Amino acid sequence: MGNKAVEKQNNILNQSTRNSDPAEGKALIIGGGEYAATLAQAFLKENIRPVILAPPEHPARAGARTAFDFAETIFGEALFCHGGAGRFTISIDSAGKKKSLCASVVILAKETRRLPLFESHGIKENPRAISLSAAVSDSGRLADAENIVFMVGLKQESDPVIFEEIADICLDLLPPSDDLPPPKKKIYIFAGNLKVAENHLESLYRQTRRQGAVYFKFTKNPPKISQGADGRVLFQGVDESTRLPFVISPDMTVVDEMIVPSPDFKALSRRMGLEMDENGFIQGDNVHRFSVRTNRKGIFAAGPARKIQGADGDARDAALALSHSRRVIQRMASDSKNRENDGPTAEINPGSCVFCLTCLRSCPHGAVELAPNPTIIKEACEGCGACRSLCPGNAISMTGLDEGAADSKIKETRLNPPDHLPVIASFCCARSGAAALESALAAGQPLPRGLALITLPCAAAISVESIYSAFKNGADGVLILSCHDGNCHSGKGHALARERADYAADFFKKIKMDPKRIKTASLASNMAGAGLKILTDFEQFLMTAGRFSNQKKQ
Amino acid sequence: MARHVAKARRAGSSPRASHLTDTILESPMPDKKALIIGAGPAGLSAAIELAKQNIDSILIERSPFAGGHGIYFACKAAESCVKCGACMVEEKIRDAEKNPRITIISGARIKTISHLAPFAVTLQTDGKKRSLSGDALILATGFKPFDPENKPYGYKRFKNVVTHLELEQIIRETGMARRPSDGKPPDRVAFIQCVGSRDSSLGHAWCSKVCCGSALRMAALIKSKRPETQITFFYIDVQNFGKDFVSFYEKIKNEIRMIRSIPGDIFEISGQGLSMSWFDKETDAPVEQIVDMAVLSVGMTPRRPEFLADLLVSDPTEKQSGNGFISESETARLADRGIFVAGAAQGPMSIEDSISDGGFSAFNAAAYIKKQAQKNGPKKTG
Repeated sequence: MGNKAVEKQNNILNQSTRNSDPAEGKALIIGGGEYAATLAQAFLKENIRPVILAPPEHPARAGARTAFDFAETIFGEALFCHGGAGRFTISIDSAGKKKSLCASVVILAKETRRLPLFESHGIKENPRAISLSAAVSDSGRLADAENIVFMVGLKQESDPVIFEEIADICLDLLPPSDDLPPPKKKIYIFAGNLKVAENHLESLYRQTRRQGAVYFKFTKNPPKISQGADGRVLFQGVDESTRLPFVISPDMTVVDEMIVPSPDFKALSRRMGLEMDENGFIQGDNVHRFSVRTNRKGIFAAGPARKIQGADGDARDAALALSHSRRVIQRMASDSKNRENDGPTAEINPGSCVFCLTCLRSCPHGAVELAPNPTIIKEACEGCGACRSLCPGNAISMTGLDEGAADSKIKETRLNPPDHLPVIASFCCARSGAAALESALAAGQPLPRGLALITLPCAAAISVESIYSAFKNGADGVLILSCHDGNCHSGKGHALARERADYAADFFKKIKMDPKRIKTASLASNMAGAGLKILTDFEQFLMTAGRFSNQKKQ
Repeated sequence: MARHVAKARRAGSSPRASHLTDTILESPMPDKKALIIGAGPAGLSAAIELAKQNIDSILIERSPFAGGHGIYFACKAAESCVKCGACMVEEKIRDAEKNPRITIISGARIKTISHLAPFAVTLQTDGKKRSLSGDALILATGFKPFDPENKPYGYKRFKNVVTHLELEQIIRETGMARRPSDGKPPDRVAFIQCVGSRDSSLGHAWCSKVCCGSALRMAALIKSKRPETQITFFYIDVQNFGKDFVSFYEKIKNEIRMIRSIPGDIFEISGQGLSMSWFDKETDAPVEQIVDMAVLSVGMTPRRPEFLADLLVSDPTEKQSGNGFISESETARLADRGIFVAGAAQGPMSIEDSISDGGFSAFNAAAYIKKQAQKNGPKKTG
C-alpha cells in the first residue's frame, strides 16, 4: 500500500542525482495522498514539473505540513479537461474561484479508502471489536488480548492486500519459535476464500500456522455472530473440517475491511470523459488499457487510482506513468511532423460541418473540442473513425485512410473470382478480425477466393453507407468482424458496428432483401480458426442464397 | 508499526526499482542495445518499451517462435471479453516484429554469458554459433508449468486428463473444449485446482495466482457454448482475477458445481469415464463422481536454465527463501550489475502483470544504460 510504495520510491530516488536540463512540460497529479507525493517526487527528479491537485478539504490547506511541500499544490476540484496529450487545459474550482491550468500530462493518483465491515456483520465498533486499520496502526491494542479473532472475506470477497496485513500482525503477535512454551495467546482467523495470490503470501500463511494461528474456513455456512453487552463478539458455528460445533468469544475481534476507490472518481469520470470500471476505479476494464492508460491519450491512472494492488504494483505503475509522461513531453518537444505521424486521424471539413456536435458527444477519446468550430485534436485522436461514421453531414475524413479503397477492392474481387463464388466484403477491425485472418493466411490456411478484406482501424469506422456501397459495388454479403464487446480499444467499436449493421439489415427487410446478407461477428486476434469458420460458414450461406444482383431483380 | 516489523522479518524487502534515475529528456541512444532473454509477454513488452526510449534490443528465445506460454492461450470471450489478456500477447508479437529496433532470434540456445556489462552472449541457432553483446541484460525467462505425471491423476495414462494449459490450446484451436480421445465436446468436465501449487508435499509454498482465472473463465466459456455441460470445480480458495472478479465469480459459481476439496486420485472406468472421489464436508461422507474430461490446473514452477545458475551469485549470509524463483534480493543485486529481471521468473504472474513488469524492467534498464553512458565520459558525436 501507500507506505511501502513511498518507502520504495524514496530508496529509488536517493540513488539518483539531479539533472540540470530543464524540461518543458508539466504534469498535473490529481490526488492528495502519499501516492501523489511519491509520483510528484519522481517527476521532479526527471525534470518534469509536477503540480498537485489536492482535494479542497486537504489538511495542508489549513497550514498542516504535508508530504508534498516541495511541489506546487492547488486545492480544489477539476471541472473539465480540454485538449490532448501534451497540451491539456484543466479548469479547476478552487474555493469557489475558477482557475485554469495547463499541463502536458495528467496522472490520476487518488488513494483508495477502507470501509470496515462492521455493519454488514452486525457488529458495533468498540474497544473489543476494532477495524483492521486500527489494528495495523496500533497493534498495541492487541498485545494484552489472550484470544483474538480476525475476520476476513466472510461476507464479501477479500483481497491479498488485506490478508497480508492480517498475516503480518499475526507474526508480530505470535512468538516465532516452537521451542518456547506454547503461547498463551490464541489467534483465530475466520476466513471465506483466503486470498493468497501474491508472491510470498502462501508461505506467510504457512508461517502464521506454524507459529500457532488457527484458521477456520467457511464455504456456505459462516458462523453466527452476536455481540454481548461488554462489546465482546460471540461466534457460534460448525468447523467445516472437523464438523464439530464451536463457540468462541474472543477478547478482541478484528473486523476486516473493503478497499474501495476514491468516491471522487464518479464526478471526475463524468467531467473529464474518462472510463470507469465496475468497482469505480478510474480506468476502464479493458485489456488495451494495460497498464496505466486510460481512454484519453496523455491521461494516466496509476496505482490506487486504477486497482487494488500491493506495493510492487504501485511502484511499477509510478515508473510506467513517468515513462509514458516523459514520452508525451519528448514528442511535444520534437518537431511537429514527428508528433502527428501516428496512423490515421480524423479531420473535420469546416465547409460541410453543421455544428450538430455529434462528433463531440461520440468521441471515445475526448478528441473533439470547440475552438470555436468543432475541431479534432490531433494529439488526442486515436483514429478509430467513430465520429466519421456517425457524422450526418459526411464532414469528417480520415487522414491516411483511402476512402475509395474499399469500393475498388470489392469491384476488383467481383471481377476476379470464378462466377459461382460469392463476393464477401469483410470489414475488419485491424486489431482483431484482420489480424486473425492474416494469421490464418500466414499459417497457410486458404481464405475464400471471393473475399475482399477491408481493414479498418476500428469497427467504429463502419458506416451504414459503406455497407450499402459494398453491395452496390458487387458484394453478395457483408461480414463485419470486430473485437469482442469489452475488448475494443476505443470502447464501443463493436456496439457501434452492430448498431449500423442492424440498421442496414432492417432496411434490407423493408425492401424485401435478405437481411442475413449482413452479418456481424466478434473475434479475437488469436482466434484464426474461429475467424476462418465464421468466414466459410458465411460463404456457404451466400452460395445457397445466390448472387445479390439476381435477388435484386426479383 | 506492526507491518514494518513483520515486513522486515521477511527477507528481501529491498526495492526492485533500483535504477529509477535521472534521464535526459532528449536522449537518442545510438548504438546502445539491450539483450533480452525470453520473448514471452514480459520480454516482448520490455523490448517495445526500450524501443520507445530509442534503445535497440535483441530478444533471445529458445522456442521456435515468440510469445512464451501465452501464445497457446485461447480467447475466452463468450458474449463479451473476459480480459484474460491472451490477445495482448499476440499484439505484442505483432508490435515487436514490425519494430525496426527489435530483433527476435528464436530457436536459440545460450551457451555462455558474461557476468558484467557490457554483456557478451554466445548462442547456438540451427547449429550455427552466434555472438552478441549488449549494454544491459533483461532476464525474462518465465516459468515452467508443473508436470503432473507423478500426481495420482493419471495424466499421460488417461487421454482425457489434460492440463489447463492444454485445454487453453484445445479451445484456441477448435473454439471449444473437446476430449482428446474422440474430439467430442465433453458432457461432464472437472477442473482440479492447485495441482503443483500450494502443495507442502512438494515444497511448493506458493499460489500460482492465475489458474483460478484461467479455469473459471474457460468454465464460463464452455457453459455459454454448451449450457448443458456439467462442470465441477475443485478448489482450496478461489483467488481474485481481473477487475470484474466479483461479478464474474458471483455468476459462474451458480452455474457450476463448486467443491471446496481436492480429489485424491482419478481412475478410468472403461466405457464410463474418469472417476474421482473426495470427502464431502457437508454430508460427512465420501462422494464419487464420473466425468468425461478432467482438467488439472497446473501451477507455475521456477525455470532455471543452466546459464542462470552462472549469473546468479547467491549471498551465503542470506537465508534463502528457497522457492526457486529469482528472489527480490537477487533481483536487487543483479540490477546493480545491469541485469534486470522481468515477469514470471520472479514468481507466478498473469499476462497483465508480466506486460507491466516487462515495461518496468525496460524503464530500469534504460535508466541504467543512460547512466552508464553519462559516466563513461564524452557524448558521442556524429
